[in-house]
Amino acid sequence: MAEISIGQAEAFAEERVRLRSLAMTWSALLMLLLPILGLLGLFMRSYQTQALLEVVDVSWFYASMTLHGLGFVGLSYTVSFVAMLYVLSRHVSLNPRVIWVSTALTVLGVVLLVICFLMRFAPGWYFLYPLPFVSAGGWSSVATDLFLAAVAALGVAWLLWELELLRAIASRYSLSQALGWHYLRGSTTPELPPVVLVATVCAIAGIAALLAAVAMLIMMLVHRFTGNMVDPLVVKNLTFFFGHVLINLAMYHGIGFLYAVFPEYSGHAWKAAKPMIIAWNCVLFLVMFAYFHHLYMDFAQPRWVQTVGQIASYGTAIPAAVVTILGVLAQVYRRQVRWTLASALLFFGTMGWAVGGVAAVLDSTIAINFRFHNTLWVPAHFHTYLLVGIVLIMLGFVAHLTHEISGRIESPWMARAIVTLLLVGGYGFVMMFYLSGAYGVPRRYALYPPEVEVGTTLARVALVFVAMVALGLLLYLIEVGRRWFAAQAVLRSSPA
Amino acid sequence: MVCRASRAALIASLVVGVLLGQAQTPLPNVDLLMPDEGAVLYRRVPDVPLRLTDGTQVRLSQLWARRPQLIVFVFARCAGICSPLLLSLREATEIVGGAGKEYEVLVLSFDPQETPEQLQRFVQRIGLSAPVGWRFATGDPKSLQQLLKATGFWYRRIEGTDQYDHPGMVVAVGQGRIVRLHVGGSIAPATLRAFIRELRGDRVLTYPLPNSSVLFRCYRYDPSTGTVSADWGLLAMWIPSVLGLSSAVVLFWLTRKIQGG
Repeated sequence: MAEISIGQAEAFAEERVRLRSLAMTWSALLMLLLPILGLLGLFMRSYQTQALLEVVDVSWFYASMTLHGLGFVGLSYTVSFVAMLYVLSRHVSLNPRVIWVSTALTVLGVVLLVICFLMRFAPGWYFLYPLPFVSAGGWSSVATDLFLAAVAALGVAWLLWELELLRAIASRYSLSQALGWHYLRGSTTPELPPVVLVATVCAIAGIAALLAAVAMLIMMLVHRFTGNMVDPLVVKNLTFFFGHVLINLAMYHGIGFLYAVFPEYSGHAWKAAKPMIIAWNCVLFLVMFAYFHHLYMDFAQPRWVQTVGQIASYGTAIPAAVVTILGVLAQVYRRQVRWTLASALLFFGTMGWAVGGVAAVLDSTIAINFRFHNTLWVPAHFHTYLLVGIVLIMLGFVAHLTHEISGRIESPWMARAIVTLLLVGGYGFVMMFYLSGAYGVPRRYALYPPEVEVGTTLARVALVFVAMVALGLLLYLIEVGRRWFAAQAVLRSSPA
Repeated sequence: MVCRASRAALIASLVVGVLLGQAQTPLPNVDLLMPDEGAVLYRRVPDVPLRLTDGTQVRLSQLWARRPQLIVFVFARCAGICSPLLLSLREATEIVGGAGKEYEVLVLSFDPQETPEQLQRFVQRIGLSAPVGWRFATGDPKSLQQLLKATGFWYRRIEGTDQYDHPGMVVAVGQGRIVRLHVGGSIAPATLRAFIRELRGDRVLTYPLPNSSVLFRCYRYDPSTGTVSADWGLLAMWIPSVLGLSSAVVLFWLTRKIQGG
C-alpha cells in the first residue's frame, strides 16, 4: 500500500521544491516576529522592575501580555507545523496551494491581532470569556470584534492545513498504518517513518482542537450578536481544549522534525518501534483530555473530570517524552555526531522540552497546582518548554533549512557562542520565574505589592539573562540571516 | 506571493473591521452601585466603638477577638430589604448552625441618628429578639462612616420620605479583616456555609451561578444540596473530540475510496 510510482515520485519532488519556498517564507517570518515578540516580553519584565512605572501606562503591560502570549503560541504552532511538513513531504504528497492559502489567512489573522494590540485589547492570552466583552473602558468593542475576526481567520487557516495534512497521509497510508497499529501486531510492513506517525497524531488532535475553537467562537458570537450570556465554564473548557492542544502540537511538530532530521547529523537511523507507537497513540487519545488541568481552580468542575485531567496529563507527557529523550540520547551516545548550530539547537531544544515537561507534570498534579496555580511557577514551566524547548527547535529548523539549501555553515565558535548565550540566558531567565513562583509571587501582575517585593528583585535579575538571550538571538539573526539570503539566491537561480 | 497575501490580508482585515464596527451591539453594563466583594476582600476593618442594645459599650475588636463576626447593616425604619435579609439570615443560621459557637451575628444600624432603643423595637417587631449568638448595636456618626467606607457600604436618603436607598449586605469579618462579602436581599444557607468555612480558614472558591437565561450551561448546581448535575452544554466539551476522531476516520476512508475508484 505504501509504495509510490516514478510519476508520483516526480510530483513529490516538484511539491518539495514548492514546500521549500514555503519553508523559507516561514523562516523569514520567524526571524522577523520572534524578536518583536521577545521585545514585548522584555518590556513586560522591565515593567515589573518598576523602571517604566512613570513612563508607560499600565494598560500596555496587559496588551503586551495578550499579544506576546497569543503570538508565541501561534508562531510556535505554525513554524513547527511547517517544519514538520517540510520533512513529511519526503513521504507523502502535499498540495502546496492549500498551505499557501492557510499562510495568507494566518497573515490576515496576525495583522488583525496587531491592530487589536494597538487598540490596547488586553484580556490576556487566554482571552477567557466574558473578559473580551467586559473591558471596563480598557478597549473598545471594535477591538473585541477584530479579535473575533482574527480567531476566525486563524481557525479556518489552520483547520484547512490540518485537513490537507491528513488527506496527504491518507493518500498513502490507511489510518491503522499511519498510527502504526500493524507494529503492535508484530508486522513492520509498510515501514512507518516516525514523522508520519507524529503528523497523523498531530493532525487528528489538531482538528479536534480547532473544532473546539469553532465551538468557542460560535458561543462568543452568540453573546456578541444576541447579548445573551453564555456559560463561562463551558467556554473556558473549549478555550483550553484549543489552546492547550495547540501548544502541545507545537512541541510534537518539532519532535516530528527531529525524528526525521537528527539522524542526518548522527548518522544513525531513527525508526519506529513498539514503544514509540504506544507512546504516540497514548498522546492521541489523552491529549484531548489533559487540558482539564487548567481548570483545577474551577470548583464547579466535577471531581472526576479533574482526576481525568491529572491522569491524561501524565499520559500525554511521560510516555512521549521518555521515548523521545531516550531516543535522542541513543542518537548521540558514543556516536560521531556532526555538531552544528542546527543539530545543537535541536538537541538542546528537546532537552528543554524534557525539563519544562517535568515542571509541567508537577504543575498538572492537583495537590501541587492548588498551591502554585496563580503564581509565576506556571509561566516558569511554559517559558521553559517554549524558550529553551520549542524556540530552540524552531531556530534549529531554520539553521538546518538554510544550511541545506545554501550549503553554507557557521563557524564553530559562532555556533558555540549562540548556543551558550541562548542556554545560559534562557535557563537563567526561567529560573527567576521558578524562584518567584516558589516565593508565591502572583502571575499576571504588572507591579508587585510590598508583600511580594521579592518579585521585583527577581524581575531585575531576570533582565540580565534576557540581555544574554537577546545577544544570542542577535548573533543568530546575523549568522543565519545572511545564510537565509544566500539560500534565497540559490533557490532563485536553481529552484530544483 | 507573500507580499500579495499580506496586502490582501491587510485590506480584508480593514473591511472586516468596518463591517463588524457597523454591527455593534452595546456591551453589557455592570451595576457600579453594587458593593464589589473583590474590591474589599482582606481589607482591615476599623476598630470602632459600639453601643449594644443591652446598654453595654464595646469596641468591634473585642467582638472579633472572641469569635468571627457576620456584620449586617440595617436601619430600623426600613420598609425595604432590611427585615427580609435579617429573617433569611436567621433561617440560614438555623439550618447551618454554629451561631454563638463558631461565629456571631452583629446587626448594626447604619443610621447615625438611630438609638439602641429604636433598633431594639425594630428587631422585636420582626420577631428577632435575642437569638443565640446575635447582637444589635448602633454607633457614633464618625466611627460608623469609617466602618461603612471600609466595607464598601453606601446609603442615601430618598427625597420626601424617611427611607434610605442602600444595598443589602452581609460582611464576614475574621481577625479584623473582611473575609467575604455578600450582597443581596437574602442569604442562602449554602452561601452562609461557605462564609463559615472561609472564617474557619478553609479556602472556598467563588463562582457566580449562571441563571436560567445563560446559554450552553454545562452543569446545574443546586445551592440547597450542593449537588452538581450535567447539563446540555457539557456536550460542547466532548463534541470536538468525537468529531475530530470521526472526521479522521471518514477522511481516511473517503480518500482511500476515491483512490481505489
